[in-house]
Amino acid sequence: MSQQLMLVEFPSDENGRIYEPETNTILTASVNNMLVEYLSKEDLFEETSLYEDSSLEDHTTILRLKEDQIGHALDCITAMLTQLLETERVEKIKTLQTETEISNLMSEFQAISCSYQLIKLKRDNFSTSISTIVMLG
Amino acid sequence: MRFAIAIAGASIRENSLDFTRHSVTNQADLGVDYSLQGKAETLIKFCETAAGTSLPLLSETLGDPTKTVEGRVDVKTMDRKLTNVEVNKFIADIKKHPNTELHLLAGGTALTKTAQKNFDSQQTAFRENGKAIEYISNTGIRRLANEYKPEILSALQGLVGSEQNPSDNTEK
Repeated sequence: MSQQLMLVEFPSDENGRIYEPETNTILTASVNNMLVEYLSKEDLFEETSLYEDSSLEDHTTILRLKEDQIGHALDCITAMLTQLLETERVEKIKTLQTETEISNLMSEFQAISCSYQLIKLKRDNFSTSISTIVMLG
Repeated sequence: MRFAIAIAGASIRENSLDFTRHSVTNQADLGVDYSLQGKAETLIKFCETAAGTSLPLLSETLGDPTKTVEGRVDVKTMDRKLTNVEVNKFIADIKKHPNTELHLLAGGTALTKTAQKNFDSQQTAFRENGKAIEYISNTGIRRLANEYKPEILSALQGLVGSEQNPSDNTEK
C-alpha cells in the first residue's frame, strides 16, 4: 500500500473539530511501511474524526500525528536516518550495480528526508494552528 | 494483500491479464501498488465484478475491447472512508503515468461526500482525454475475491496439496 504523510490545513469549529471540503494540502511525503511502523511503535499517531462537512454529522476516522509528539517524531526519523547510514547497503553504495538497488535506496532516503521536512515545517510554521495537522493517508 | 490475492485469481482465469506488484519502496511516490496489463474487455470485466454492476462509461472510455490496456492500482488498506485529500493525491498521480489508461483507487469503506463529488468530477474530465478512473471499495475487493475464489483455492491446492484426514493415510 502506498502511504503518505500529509500536512493539511482543515477548517475547524470553535471546539477544534475539523471538516471537509475546503482543505488545503500544504505538503505530502511518500513514506514506506518501515517508517510508518517505526512511528506507530513509538505511539506517535492518534485517531481523530474528520467530519464530512460543516454540519458535523457524518465523519471518518483518520490517523494524525499527536501535536505534542512532533519533536519526538523528528528524533525518530533522525534515528532512522542514522540506522540507514550504518547499513551495509549504504556502505557499499559506490559499488551498487543495479538501477533497482540504487532506486530502492534513494526511495528510502527520500521517505526519511521528505517526512522529516514535512514534520519540521509543521513544527516551525504551523505549531499554533491546531487544525493544520500531519495526517497519515 | 487482499487485493493481491484477488488480482492473482483474476490473472489465473483470464489469460490476457497480467500484473506486477511493486516493491514497498520503489514506486511509493508514484502511487502505484500494482500495474495491470490486459485486454480492455478483461479489465472492464474486472472492474464490473468489483462494482457489482455494468460500467458502460468505462467501456466507452477504453474503446476497442481487444486492445491492450495498461492499468495502475493505488491500494489504501483502510477500514474507513477515504478523504478528499487522498483522492486528490490519487488524481495528481495520474499525470505521472502518461501511458496508463486505467487508474484504480482501491480500499476503504467508501469515499467521503466531498471525495466522491471530486472523484466523479475528475472521472468526467479525464474521460475526455481517454483516461478512465474507477474506485473499488473494500466491498468491491471482497466481490473480486469471491468471484475468483475457485482459481485462488485451486492455486493453493496445487502448492500445498488438498487437505487429507490423517486417518485416511494408510501408507506405511
